[in-house]
Amino acid sequence: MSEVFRIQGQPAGDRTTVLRLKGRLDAHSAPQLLSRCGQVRDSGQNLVLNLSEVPFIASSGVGALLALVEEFRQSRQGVRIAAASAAVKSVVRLLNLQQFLALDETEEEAVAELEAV
Amino acid sequence: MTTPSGIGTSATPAPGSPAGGGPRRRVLSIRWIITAGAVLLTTSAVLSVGFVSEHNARGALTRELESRTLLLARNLALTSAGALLGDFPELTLQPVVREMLARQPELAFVTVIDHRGVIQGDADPRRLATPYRDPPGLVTATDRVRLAAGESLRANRDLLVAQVPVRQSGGGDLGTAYVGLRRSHIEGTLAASRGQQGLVLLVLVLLGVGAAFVLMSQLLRPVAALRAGIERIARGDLDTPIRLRDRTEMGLLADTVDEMAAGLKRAQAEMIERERLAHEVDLARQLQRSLLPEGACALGAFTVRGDHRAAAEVGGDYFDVLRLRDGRVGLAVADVSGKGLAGCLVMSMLSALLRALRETCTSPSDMLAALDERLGESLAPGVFVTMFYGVLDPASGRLTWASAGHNPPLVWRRATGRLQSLPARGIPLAAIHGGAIRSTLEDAELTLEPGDLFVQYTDGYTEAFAPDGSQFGLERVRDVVTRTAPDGCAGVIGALVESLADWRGARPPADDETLLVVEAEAVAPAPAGVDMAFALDQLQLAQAAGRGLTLPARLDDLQPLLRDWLAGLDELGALSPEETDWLVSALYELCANVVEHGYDHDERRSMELWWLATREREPASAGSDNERSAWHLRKGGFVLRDDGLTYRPDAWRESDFSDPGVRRRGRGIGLDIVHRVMREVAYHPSTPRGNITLLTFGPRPRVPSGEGVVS
Repeated sequence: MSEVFRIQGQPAGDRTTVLRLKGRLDAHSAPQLLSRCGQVRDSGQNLVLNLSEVPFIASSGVGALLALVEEFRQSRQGVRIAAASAAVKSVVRLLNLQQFLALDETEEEAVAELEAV
Repeated sequence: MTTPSGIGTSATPAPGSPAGGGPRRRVLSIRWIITAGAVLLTTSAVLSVGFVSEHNARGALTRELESRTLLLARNLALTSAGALLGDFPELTLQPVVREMLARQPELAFVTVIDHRGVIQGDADPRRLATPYRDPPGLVTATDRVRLAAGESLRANRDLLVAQVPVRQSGGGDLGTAYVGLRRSHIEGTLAASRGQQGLVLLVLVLLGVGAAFVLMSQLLRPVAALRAGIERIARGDLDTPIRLRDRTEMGLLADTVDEMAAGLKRAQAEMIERERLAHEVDLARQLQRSLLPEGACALGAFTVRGDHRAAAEVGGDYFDVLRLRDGRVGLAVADVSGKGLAGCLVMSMLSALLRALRETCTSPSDMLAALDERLGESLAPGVFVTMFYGVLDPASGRLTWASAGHNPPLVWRRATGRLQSLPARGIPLAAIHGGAIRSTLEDAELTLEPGDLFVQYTDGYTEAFAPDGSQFGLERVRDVVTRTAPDGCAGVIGALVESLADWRGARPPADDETLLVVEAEAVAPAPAGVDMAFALDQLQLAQAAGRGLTLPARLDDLQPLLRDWLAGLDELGALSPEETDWLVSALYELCANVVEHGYDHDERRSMELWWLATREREPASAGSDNERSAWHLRKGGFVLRDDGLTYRPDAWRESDFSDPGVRRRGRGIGLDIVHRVMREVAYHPSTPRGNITLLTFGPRPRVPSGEGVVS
C-alpha cells in the first residue's frame, strides 16, 4: 500500500524552481520535502510547489508547508502552491490557512506571480 | 587448514595448462629455444672459420702451384736449350714432354717452341711444326711469384700458364717453354678439405645440441617444482613450501615464493582473526540488544522509558523493566566492568538471574544480595557489576530501591521544580566475595507524585569526554534534567542524548551510555468512576454494532484504510467530498498520534476504530439549508481503542497561526485538525480495556469558514 513519494524539480522563469510532488505528504515524506526545498532556498530561487498529485496531506505536511513559507520569507524568497489537489485544499480551508499559504490554480500563474515581484 | 575465500580456485588446472582461467597458452620451451640458438651459433662459427681458412688455403695453394708451374717451366727451358740447338729438337723433346705429363697428371699441356714460334715439343705429335697459339683469354695471373726477365705467369678460367724463355748459355733466345696447369686441380684440393670441414661441422653441431639440451634440462628442472608450488598456493595450500635446493636464480625465486606464501598465510590468519573479532562485536551487540527492552512501557499513570547507546567496542551496560505478578514493576540498571562478548555474557546472566529471582526477592536489597552471591560464584576475579534495582508500585507511586555501587539516581519534583541526587551506598556486585555486600545495602523509599521524574543513568554519561578532555560530569546531567523535566521522560532522554552527543563531538561513545527514566503523569488518570464506565459502555455498544476497523501501527496504511472504511458507512454517504476529506484527516491524525507516541512505530501493534451511530438526536430545527445538511443530521461518533502509551489528545490548545513562531515550528497541528472536525474529544486512558478515545462527530461551535459548515 505504501507509495513512493517523489519530488521532481524543474526550473521555471529566471528565478523560480518548480517542484512537482507525487504521493502522500506525511511524517515520512515531509522531511524529504524540507531537505529538497532547503536546496532550492540555498540556491536563492523562488519556489512553486505543484501539489496536483498529492492525494493526502497530514498535519506534518501542513506544518512543513507553513515552515517553508516562513523560511523562504526570511531570506526574501517566495513560495507559492500551484494546482493543489482537493484533499490539500480542503485541509487548508479547514485550518483557515489561506492567508498564509498562497494557492494558485496553475503552475504558470504561480510562476508569473513570483517573477513579477 | 581451511581454504581461504578469495585465494583458492576451485578448479585444479590440467597439467600443462597454466593455473587459473584465461585462454590456453601455447608453451614454447626454453630448452628448444636455447638448443636452436646453440645450433645457429655453432654453425655460423664453423662456417665463418671455414670460410676464412678456405680463403687462406686457396691463396697458399695457388701460390704454391704457381711456383711449381714456373719451376717446371724453368726446368723445361733448361732441358730444352740443348735440344733446340740440335737438328731434330722434336725427337729429343717429345719424351721429355711425355714424361712430365705422365708424372704430373694435373698438367694440361707442356709445349716448347723455337725462336720462330713453331712448336718443337708437345705431347700431341699433330701440333709439332705448327705455330703456337696461346689458349684464349689469358691475363697476368699474379704478382706473388718473382719472375725473371721474359718470364710470365698468366691464367684464364681453366688454366694457369707459365712461360719461360729458352736461352743459350751465351744469352741468345732459342725459344720458349710453356707449361699449363689445370686450375681444377686447385678446386679439387680445396673441395677435399671442404668435405672434411663439413664433417667437423656436423660433429660440432651434434655436440652443441646435445650439450645445450642436457644443460637446459638440468637448469630448468626447478621450474617444474616452482610451478607445482605456485599451483599449490593458488589452490590455497600455504603450508607446503617449495624447498628447492638450487644454487641458481631459480633457488632464489623459490625462496621468494616461499616467503610470499608465508606472508600470505600471516595475512590470512590476521584477516580471519579480524573477522572473528568483528563477528564477536556483532554478536555481543545483538546479544545486548536482545536483552534490552524496546520502546517505552506504560504502567498506569507511569511511563518508563530507557535509552541505550552502545560504545564502538560494546560496553557492558544493561537496563530492564520487569513486571511482577502483584502489578509492581522491577527496574534495573547495571554496568558490567567487562566489555565485549565477555561483558555481554555477564549481562545475559544478570538478565536470567533477575527473571528467576524477581518474585522471590521481596526487597531490592535482597535482590542485589542474591545477585551478588550467585554472580560471585561465576565471575572471574576483577569483574564486578554496579547496579541499581528498584521496585515501583504504579498504584501508589511508591518506589523502593537499593544501589550496589551505582551512580546516584536523580529525582525531579514537579511541585518544587528541584532536582535531588539520592545517596547510593552499596559496594558493587561480585567485588568482595562472601556476602560482605549485605551490610552495605540499604532499601530506600520514595513516592513519585504526579509530574515527578526519576532518572537513573550509567557512568557513560558522567564520564563522557569532550575532545578537549573535559568530562561531561554529573552537574551537566543535573542541569539538563532540571531544564527539560517538565517535558516528560521522552523530553529528558532526547535532551540528554543530544547534549552528550554535542559534548563528545564527532567521536563515537567510549563507553555505553544508558538511561532509565520514570515519569509520573502530570495529571492523575481519571479515577475509575462514571467517566470510565461511560467509555467502557460506549466501547461495548460500538463493538456490539460491529462496524469497526483494525488499523496496523503503520502510517502508510492509515489513510487508504480509513478512506475505504468511511466510504462503506451508509450514514456518511451524504457528506460532501470535502467533509469526507476532513473526517479522514481527523481520524488519521488521531491514529497517527497513537502510532507515533503510543506505539513508537511498532508495526506489530494495532488499534481498533469503531463507528457508533447517533446516540442522541438533537431536535432538528428546521430552517436554513445548512442546518439540514448531512454534517448536522448524520451525527454519530467514533470510538478508538489502543494499548499504547498514554498521551493527552484532549489537553490541547488551539494553534495561533497568526504567530509566525507557530508557523515556523510547524508542529502540533494534528490536534487542531481533530478538534476542528470533532465536536467532542474525550480521552479515557488506562481503562481495563486499554485507552479509549470517544469522538463525537460534528462541528464545534467555532469552525472555520467553509462551504457546508454551520458556524
